[in-house]
Amino acid sequence: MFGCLCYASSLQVHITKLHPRARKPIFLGYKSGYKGFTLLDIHSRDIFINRHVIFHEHILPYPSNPDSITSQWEYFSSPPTTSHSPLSDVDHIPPSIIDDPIFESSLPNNDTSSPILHVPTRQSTRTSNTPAYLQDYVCNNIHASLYPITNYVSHNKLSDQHSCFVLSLHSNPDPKSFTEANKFDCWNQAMQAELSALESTGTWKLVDIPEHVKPIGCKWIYRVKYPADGSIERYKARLVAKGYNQIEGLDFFDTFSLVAKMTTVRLVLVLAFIHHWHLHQLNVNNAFLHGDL
Amino acid sequence: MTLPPGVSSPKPNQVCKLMKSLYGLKQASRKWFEKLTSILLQHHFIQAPSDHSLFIKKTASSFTLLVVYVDDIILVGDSLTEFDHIKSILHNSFKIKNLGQLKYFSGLEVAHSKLGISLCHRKYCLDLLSDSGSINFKPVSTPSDPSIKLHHDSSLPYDDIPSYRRLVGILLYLNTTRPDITFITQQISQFLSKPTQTHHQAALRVLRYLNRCPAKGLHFPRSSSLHLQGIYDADWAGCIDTRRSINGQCFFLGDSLISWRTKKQLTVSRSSSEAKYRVLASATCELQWLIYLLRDLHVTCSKLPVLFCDNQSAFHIAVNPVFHERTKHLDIDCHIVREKLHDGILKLLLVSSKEQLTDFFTKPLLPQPFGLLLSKLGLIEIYQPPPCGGLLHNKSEEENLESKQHSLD
Repeated sequence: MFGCLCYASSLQVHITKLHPRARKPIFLGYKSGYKGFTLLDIHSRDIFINRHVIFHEHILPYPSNPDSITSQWEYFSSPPTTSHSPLSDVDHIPPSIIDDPIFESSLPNNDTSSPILHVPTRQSTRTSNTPAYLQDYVCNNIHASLYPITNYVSHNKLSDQHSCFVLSLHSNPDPKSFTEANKFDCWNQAMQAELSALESTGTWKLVDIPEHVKPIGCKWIYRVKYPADGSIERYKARLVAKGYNQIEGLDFFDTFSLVAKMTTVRLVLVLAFIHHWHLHQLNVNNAFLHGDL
Repeated sequence: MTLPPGVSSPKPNQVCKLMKSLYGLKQASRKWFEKLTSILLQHHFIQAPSDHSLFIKKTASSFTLLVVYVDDIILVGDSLTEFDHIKSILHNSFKIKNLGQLKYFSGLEVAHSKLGISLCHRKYCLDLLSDSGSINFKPVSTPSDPSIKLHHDSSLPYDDIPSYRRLVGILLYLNTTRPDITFITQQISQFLSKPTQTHHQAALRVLRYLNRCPAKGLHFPRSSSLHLQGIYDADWAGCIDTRRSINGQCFFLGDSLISWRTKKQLTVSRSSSEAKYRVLASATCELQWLIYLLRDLHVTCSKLPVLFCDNQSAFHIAVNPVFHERTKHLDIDCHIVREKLHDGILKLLLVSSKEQLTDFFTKPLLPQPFGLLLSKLGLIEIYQPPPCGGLLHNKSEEENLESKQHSLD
């Protein structure tokens, strides 16, 4: 978190017993090309990079005074070019802030008593204009909606637990495995439906395992089907075989299957049009389940 | 197969012996096609020898075609009662979803109108553009830069090889309705193993071009004759790395473009006539296949099929049964073209270089000739408003445009 207190290890090779073990900086961000964090030392006020850092995200040494925050943001919006050189512009931060009572009081590692400070994020004040060459057009891609919902829905006022709950409802993820799905009734029903469909077509029969035979595996795939309006149409579970364990010559022979050549499709369409034939289209449900082994 | 989770067996150590195929099995698609073929053959369909996914049923009163693309089926024919019969047969064997009139077939959007039929991949193209994040790129007027000839160059290698390959794969599929990107797709697909930044830039330029006209597609006019014509050309030593030539060929049935191809030749040619002669041989084979296909469809051509080229010497090599000093090694190619000519199944004609359409498939073009050839090939964008606010169009064409958009809605 930007501006939070942390302790960076200062362990080096030539160090004596009474040297400090850590420096006390605040976190600034990441620098591309380095594996460490970019940090600003509170006392010496130089910017350096360190990999071994312990963060205290609830302690913000600099108070959330809006004026001082904006001045920091403007300055730090572009990453520093040289890492280990002290920057003269750090003097922008008034020295009084560093001796601020809040900062001093937050120094002890007391997790509960320290106040949580919220840093307001900077928002751009630039007004965005449509490019001149697009003024005569209705462009859906640039402004999808005049009133995007993100401007009106906010989870800020919710408590942490409640917003977690709301977010998990929104995403509604498909379960990844049988153990995950087995906990829900809707998925159990979907699996029962698929199993009964497979049994009614006689897809398999149960036999004792023959010797020296390694059966191939199978797994469930789960998908929630949404129609265009975003509601839930149905829960779909499909059983798939792990075909990658099949051995050629033993479990299968040829796998090549034809599809229509696109030239044929075009030619047929042309002919159908010239001769005023009817053109219809069909789709076979669960086509692959019909093949006989 | 092991027991699926959720199934309990009465005895331990039991497994499922599969009697029917499941999703995920290697042979699933093949077994499905075998099953469908057997059922169709039982019901007096004939599998066309020229394309085995085409099934034909001809009776005294009706004529029906069936084109199969995995689980999507196109039904073409002159009798609706026969359609219902076939649908009920298929519905009893499997379970089918009747999608009515052909509109959307594996990404291909079909728009009907009184004057013609139009195919495009607008949705597929827009999905590609938004997924690759290039929807706001600045549009360009041609897909390839005429000043750059792609080869194995020494610029920085492009790191994200899988995404490059994915993009090329998508462009290859788009080729089914977009002859305008055929050439550049052939070019960038040569560098799949080691793409460099230059190649990636070329691929991005195609996306910028697609951004300009995502709905461009083929247009088949209704009032079209049944005359097969092919045009072929070669860009001699067009590949810088191997000095092989690049084939370009396209075939029309009447005014409708039905087949086209850009391909690098397999061997090096010593002269431009030799290169063109090799294309002639491959164009002959393609033309022969189209003739077979038309014969299977019980369609008779109104005239003898014609192949056009602008190269005099290739024409003479084919027509005159003489081996010149420089054509001694053209043995097999020579024989196939001469044999077909002798049988009288096709005719060769010369065309002037200005009217050569196949520049489109063999070299990168400047915007002006590119646009000219685009309109000659019958590529239009039905979503675009007509030029000059439609004042130049006559009334029938306006109606045509409207009805097309209606049919898409």
